[in-house]
Amino acid sequence: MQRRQFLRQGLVGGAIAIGAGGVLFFRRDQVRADVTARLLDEAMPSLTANGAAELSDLPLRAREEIRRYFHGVCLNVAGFVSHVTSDDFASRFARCSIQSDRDACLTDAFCRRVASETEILARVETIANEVGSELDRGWSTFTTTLAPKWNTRLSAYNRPLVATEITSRLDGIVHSEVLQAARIGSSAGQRPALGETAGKLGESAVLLLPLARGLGSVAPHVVIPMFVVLAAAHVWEYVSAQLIDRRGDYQAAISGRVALIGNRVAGEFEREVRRRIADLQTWQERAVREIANRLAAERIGLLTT
Amino acid sequence: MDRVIRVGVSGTALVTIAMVMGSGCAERPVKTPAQKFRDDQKHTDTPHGKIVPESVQDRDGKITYQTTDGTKWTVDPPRSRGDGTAEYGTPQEQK
Repeated sequence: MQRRQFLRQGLVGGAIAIGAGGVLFFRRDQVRADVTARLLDEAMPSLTANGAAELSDLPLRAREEIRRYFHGVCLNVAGFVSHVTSDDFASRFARCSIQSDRDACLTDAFCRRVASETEILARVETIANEVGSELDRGWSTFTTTLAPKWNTRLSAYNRPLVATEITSRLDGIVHSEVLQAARIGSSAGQRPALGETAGKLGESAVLLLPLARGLGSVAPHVVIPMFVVLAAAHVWEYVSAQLIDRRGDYQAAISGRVALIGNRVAGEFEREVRRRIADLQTWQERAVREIANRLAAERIGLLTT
Repeated sequence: MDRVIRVGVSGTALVTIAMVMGSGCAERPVKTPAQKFRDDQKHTDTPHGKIVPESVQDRDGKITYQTTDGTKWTVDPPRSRGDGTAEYGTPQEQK
């Protein structure tokens, strides 16, 4: 009898304990979710506004910079045109039986005569540095203004955060996303322009643009950004047709068409920079959400009032 | 006597060559960077349109010009490449 009563009381006590525990856990999760939502309310409007401003401005600036560079390239295109219309080049070109080989042959000649792959990459890096600095400035302003707002929200729950702690935690997440994207790109055969280590976040994110790994068997040594290869393909197709046909004033026709390469490269570069900035913004948003979640989890325990 | 004739002929030939070369040089004035640019780029098309030949000028050691989209540019005179051809750098837009 006593045993039965003991069991009954034990079960009731257990149920009360489980119920109370459940309530505490439920309440804790609700408070955490509420605090996270408030932290995100503080962060998201300015993050979204910054992102929209960056996407509307920076890709266009990058496009104009590369257009200006190719303007200079066009001033030196005469040597390239006389080279590709020479008999020497014609015999080499005739050995290319498929369009991709012809493209590689023309890109190789372009890099040798007009703009070397090193020069193109250096220019892309310079622009990535300029665009990246703007992105970093925007991100830095965002994180430094975010820290005091979050501190105000979190001060009720625990000691205040040091501003640099929030910034470094956010940066750490974005940095690891950049490195992961570089690794994924490399393993998928799309080596990015970014080197082994990522330095400044903005510049590194822009330099995730993929490189063409050599140009087949015709020019395996040429390593240029993929957007240049894509842009040039349209122009080379036309130039190839002129070189095969060799009728009329084909030199003037080639010269005129090569000038278009600047606009096409600029267009492709703008798209690429836009993609890279959009990726960076996705990582930044993910970092903000993750840190908001973590801060709420660190500060709100079961017995937090 | 033969020697006198030989010296005379050689001297005349040298003087003639010198005069021809001298007159050739005098008739072919050295082009300014702007004139060379105008000749080199008369058919050039750029991402900003064609170069307007009448707009090409020498200014403060640089070449200035306009493209058909109305933009004004400044570029350094070309530097010589290893293979003897000239190479222009990236132009700057004039604001």
